Formats: sequence, structure tokens, C-alpha cells
Amino acid sequence: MIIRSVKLNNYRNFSKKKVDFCDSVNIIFGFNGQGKTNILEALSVACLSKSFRTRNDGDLLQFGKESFQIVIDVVLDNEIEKEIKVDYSVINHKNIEIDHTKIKSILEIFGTFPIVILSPEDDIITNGPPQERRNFINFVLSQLDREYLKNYQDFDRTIKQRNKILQDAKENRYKFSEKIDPWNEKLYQLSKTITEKRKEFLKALQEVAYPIHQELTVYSEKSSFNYKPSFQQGWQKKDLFFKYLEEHKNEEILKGSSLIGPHRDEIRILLDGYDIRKYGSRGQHRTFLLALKIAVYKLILQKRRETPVFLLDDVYSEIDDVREQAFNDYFMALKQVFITTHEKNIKLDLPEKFDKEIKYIYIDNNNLKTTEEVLFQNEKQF
Amino acid sequence: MFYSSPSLENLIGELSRLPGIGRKSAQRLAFFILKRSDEDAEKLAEAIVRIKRNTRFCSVCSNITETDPCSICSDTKRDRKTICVVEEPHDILAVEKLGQYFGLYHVLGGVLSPLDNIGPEDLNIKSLLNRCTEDVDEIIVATNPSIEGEATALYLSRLIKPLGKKITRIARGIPAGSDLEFVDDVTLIRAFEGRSDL
Repeated sequence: MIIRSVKLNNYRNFSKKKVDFCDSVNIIFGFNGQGKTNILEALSVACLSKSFRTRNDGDLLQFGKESFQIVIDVVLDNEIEKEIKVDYSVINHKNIEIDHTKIKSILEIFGTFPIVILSPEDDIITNGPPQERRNFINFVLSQLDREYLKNYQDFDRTIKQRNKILQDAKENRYKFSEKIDPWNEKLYQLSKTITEKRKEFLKALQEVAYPIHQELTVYSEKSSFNYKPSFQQGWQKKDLFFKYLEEHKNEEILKGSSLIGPHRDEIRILLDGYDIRKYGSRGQHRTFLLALKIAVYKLILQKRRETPVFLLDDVYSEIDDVREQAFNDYFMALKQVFITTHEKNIKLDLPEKFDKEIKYIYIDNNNLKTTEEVLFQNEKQF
Repeated sequence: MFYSSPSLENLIGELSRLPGIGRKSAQRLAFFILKRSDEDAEKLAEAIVRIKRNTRFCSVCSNITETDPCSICSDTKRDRKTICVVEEPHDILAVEKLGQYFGLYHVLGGVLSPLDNIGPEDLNIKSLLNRCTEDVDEIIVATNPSIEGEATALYLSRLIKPLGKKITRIARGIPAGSDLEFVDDVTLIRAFEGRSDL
């Protein structure tokens, strides 16, 4: 996929803006607080219906405004052109239109317009609590496999319904087993499917990420994933699951929540067998995340047969302790790339034989200019 | 902003309590009624009063009816060996218009949803079990394919299977007459799950 242009209306700090992009490398530069990242975020909201910085769509509104619009023009690998429009208002919430046709549910398009983002916010994947790694896996896997997304939505609903029964049982256990029984059945079916799909996905991800990470670290580190299910007996035998529930009935009622299931599973990332969360240095985290995101890019390309757009938010300049040649090779293999960077870093260490087209997009005081003038002025100053 | 006529405000207020009607739509409806003849307004008012006065739930299947039992339950030509369980009365209409099903119905009046405080005792389940007599062979569960509809179907199967009745669930799949490429993904996935031997 290639993103041709973006139009913004009352979005974050932009009242009305249109930016055209080139098919290969787009470097968005300017001083801090001018809205560089907002541009990347808008692309994410349009393609994935999700910002990488906030869960609340209302945060994307320009201050004091009641609605915003994002319109992007994309060209898919098969040359088909599509217009994606996101229309948010305080009253009607978020509506997405593809070529002026409103889509009913995000399920219909999730993963159709693939983008992969590497931003400072991603540190939480390797550094944060287990929840963040589950979110990451859910997010990527849902793009590759829409059945997974549906399964997870159903699972989420099942857990909420089931927890309500547990909470109600604290006061009144009348017909408890009878009431919770159908939800136990659903919990079992969905947990089994989700866990199997996750394990399969982590295996595929590791196969792709491992050689990339090896190359980036000059073969000095071995990375792996370790999936630790909350239900240790595994989901193969149904009677074990129901036995567990019976034995932990009182504990579940006391806590008012479901103790086992994919929502409690832990995924650990290991470097040479040690948990990166506990023992990894900042550089090791960054390098691993870079390898991880390139692996996600490759997996999406492989499984969905659509080339993702790669977004690098403010991290390009920080990737310095990786083997440069290896990084450049991967970088050159990407199709369309967006990079945001501070003005002083504009002279990026691009590979010497860089035969890719580059478009510089300057952002200043909320005025987007793609102008050689700015670059020319910069040259004079330096 | 409010209108100076309390009657008008009152009508707008009442109309906007209807599902899917906001204040703006309520205003439009109210002004429409205001412009029509007195006779039209009276007809509407009467229709609203009559629906509450004359209709009730069928004592057998809980469908909405003016006679008890309802016209379906009292129809001697229908197949009394089969009962189709639905969530709401309007689901009966959907199945009836097919002209393919000639059995009886049972309206649950909703689905199990602990989050909305709807438990088994809030649905017409007891009356369904009472209907599972010797005369009945099969119970078809036609609740919606939502997670709550599925859980309700599971719940019913646990209760009815021990009674020695055949209990079935309607299949989910691709709507007839639609091209595969236009079917939404989830429906297509369900259709694959429920594929059958040729």
C-alpha cells in the first residue's frame, strides 16, 4: 500500500491541512510541538482506526472543536485506489467511510490497510506489564486473522458477563452453577481457540524476528518468546478446566473475576534466556523493538499479501547501536516510509548509495510546507 | 430552548422517549401532528391507547396477541411436534414470512445477559419447559448468533436434553443470493465453521 495524501480538519493542532506524500521516503521535520507526530497518528487512525498515543478519540479533537475529519488517499498493491474517511464528532462518535460507503464495523476493514509503527510509545511492549504484550499480540494478530479479532471480542464479552455472575454470587448463590454453566462453556471454547492461535502466531513471529534480531546485533544476542498460559494444565482436556473451576469457585466469587483465560496469560520476551523486562538495557530494548517491528512488517506482507507502510516516529536518530549495514538493508527493502525527526537531525545518516526518492515535509507553526526553501535556508545557516 | 406551549413541549418530551428519536426528530413529529387534521391526531392517539388495552402476551408462547391463546397456538393445522424458540415477538414474523416453518413458537422475551441483570428467571423458560410434553419431538433454538444468544442456547440445551427431546440450533452462514465477495468476514468465517458434507 502507498499513502498518497492526507487531509485534516480540526484534528489535533491542525485546523485545515492537506499534505501530499511521495511513494518512498517521507521525512517530516520541524521543531518540537509543531505536530510532526500528529501526522503519523492521523495515518494510523485512518488505516487502523486507532491512535498509537491515546485510546480516547476525543483527544484527537482540536481544542474547542466538536468534530474532526481525516481523509487519506491510498493505492493498494493491486493498484486499486481507495479513499478512507474518518469522521468523528462528540455526538456521533467515529464513523469510517471507504470510498464514501460507511462501514458497519471495524471488523470489515481491520488489516486491509496495513501500517507498521515504531514509536517511543512502543517501549511499553518490552518494558511494561503483561497486559501490554497481550495488547500488542491481540493488535497484530487481529490484523492477520479477522477470526481472531471476532473470537477476542466474543471472549471479552463472555468474561464481562461471567464476572457479573461471580460478583452477583457474592451476595446470593441461588442457582449459581446453573447460571454460570453456559458462560463456562463459552469461556472454554474461546480460550482454547485464542490460546492456540496466539501460540501459533508467536512461533511464526519468532521465526521471522530471530534472524533479523541476530543480524542487527551482529549475532551477539538470541531472542525468543515464552508463552505462559494462566491455565497451566492446558486447554486440551475439557474436564481439567471444569475441575479447576469447581476447585476455585470460592476464590473466583470472592474476587469477582475470572482467574484463568487468555486475559491473564503472560508473554515473556527473552534475550539469551533472560527476561528483557528485568535485565535488558535501553539499547537492547530498542534494538529488539526494531527487529520486532520489521518482523511484523514481514508477517503482514506474507499473510495478507499487502505491503505495509512503515512509520518511524522520532526513533530514527536513536537507532545507533545497531549494525548499520544490517539496518540499512532492511530499510532499503521497505516500500513507503514515514520518518519524523527534529529539525536539527534533518541531515540523517542515510545510506551512501541511497537511491530512494526522498520528500522533505517541513512543519512550522502548524503550517505544512514541502519546500526546498526551508532546506535551502537550513543549508545557509549551517 | 423550549416552546412557549406546554402541550407542545409535553408531546415533544413524550416522543423523544421513544427509541431512536432524539429531540430534533421529536420536534419534527410533533409539528407534523400539529399540522394534520384533528381526526388524524385522534386516530393516532386511539391506536396508541388500543395497543395497550387490547393486546396481551399469549399464555402459551408469550407472543403478542389479541386472543388467548394466539392465532398460531390455536391453529390446529400446525405441526405441534416442533417448537421454535425465539428472542422477541418480531422474530416470529421473520420466520413466518418464509412460509417454510409450520411448527409452533416460544418467545423468550430476551436473552441471558448478567450485565443487564437478565437471568433465567427473567425469561420465559419455565413455561417452555412446561411445554416439553410427550407431544413435542424437537425444540429449535433460533436465538441471535450474538454471544448472549449462544449462551442462552447452551443454557436451554442443558435443561432440555435431559427431558429426552431433540434440541437443535439454526445454522449460521451466507445469505442466499449474495456473492461471496460481498459477505462480511465474520459471516463467511461462521459459514466455513458450519460447512457440511456434500
